[in-house]
Amino acid sequence: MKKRGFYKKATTYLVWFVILEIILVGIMGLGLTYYLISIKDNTLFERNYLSRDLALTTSIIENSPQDIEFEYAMYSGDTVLHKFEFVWLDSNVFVSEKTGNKKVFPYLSHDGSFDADIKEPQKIIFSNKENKLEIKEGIS
Amino acid sequence: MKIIKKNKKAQISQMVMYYIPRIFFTIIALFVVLALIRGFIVTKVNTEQAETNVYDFVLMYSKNGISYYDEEIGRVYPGVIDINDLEKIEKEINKNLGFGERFGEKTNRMGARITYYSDMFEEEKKEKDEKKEETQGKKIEQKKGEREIYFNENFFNLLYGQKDLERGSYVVEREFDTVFKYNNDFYPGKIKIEVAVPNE
Repeated sequence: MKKRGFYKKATTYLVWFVILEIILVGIMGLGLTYYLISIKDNTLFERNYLSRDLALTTSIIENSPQDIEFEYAMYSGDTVLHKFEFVWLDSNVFVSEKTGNKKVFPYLSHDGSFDADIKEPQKIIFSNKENKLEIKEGIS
Repeated sequence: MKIIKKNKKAQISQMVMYYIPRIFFTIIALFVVLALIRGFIVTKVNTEQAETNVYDFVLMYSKNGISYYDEEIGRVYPGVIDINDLEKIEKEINKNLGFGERFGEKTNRMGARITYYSDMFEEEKKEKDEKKEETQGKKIEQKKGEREIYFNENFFNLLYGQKDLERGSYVVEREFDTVFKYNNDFYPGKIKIEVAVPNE
């Protein structure tokens, strides 16, 4: 004959183990969800991409053999310029958001004295006329 | 069939023995999911190939590069290479082009070696003794009909030595058929530009 208290204690332990497991999975699930949301809002890739792309573009425009004007804009995709601030200083392109670190990439320059600061532009206009580089905000 | 009845302690021990590995494997499974998610997130951009193309063409076609530039009319003749004074050209490209400074130190992002091929050099060489040039303690013998100049020589040699390493450097070499300008005469020639950038 079974003793009733005998199985009752074991069942309590079983319930506690199941609860512990559910709590563990819940914590990890919440953590993962938070992590995924933070990744969705993170613009590290965009900043990294834009700093390199703009640095290479600046290298080309500054060293073009003749006068040139170029409009840099993005009409598709999620990477939109108006989320960021762009700074050209000491042959480097800095890309930053209101919050978050700056991403920086150097460009091949012939004197390194050029500087510019453009905040949240719709598009960026590059021009090199008579050996003078100019980078300014363009309005769409 | 013989039923083995367990006492209270044995039952609890059995449950603990069952649940400890189960929770342990649950944790492992959750970390694997996390690792998989992290594995699919891309934050790096590999631009080495694009960079080498840009730097290559800047050296070749820019007015600050190796192409002949007529200062009086402010015109570059892309593909026409002035070979009157290669040492001067080497000094000028190293002086005129650069990646600026960060934290008080010169930024290095690219090094290049430009090799000129022409029979002109052989004739010129007859006048001089064939000598070995010493660069960084390493003796380099220049072949007949070849001349080399460097942009960021030390950095180029450093990167070139690492080109076969997995996380070393990315080196691209490209050859151009060109016209060499020597004094006021023009000759057919060829140049090879090797550009090296560090791998990220």
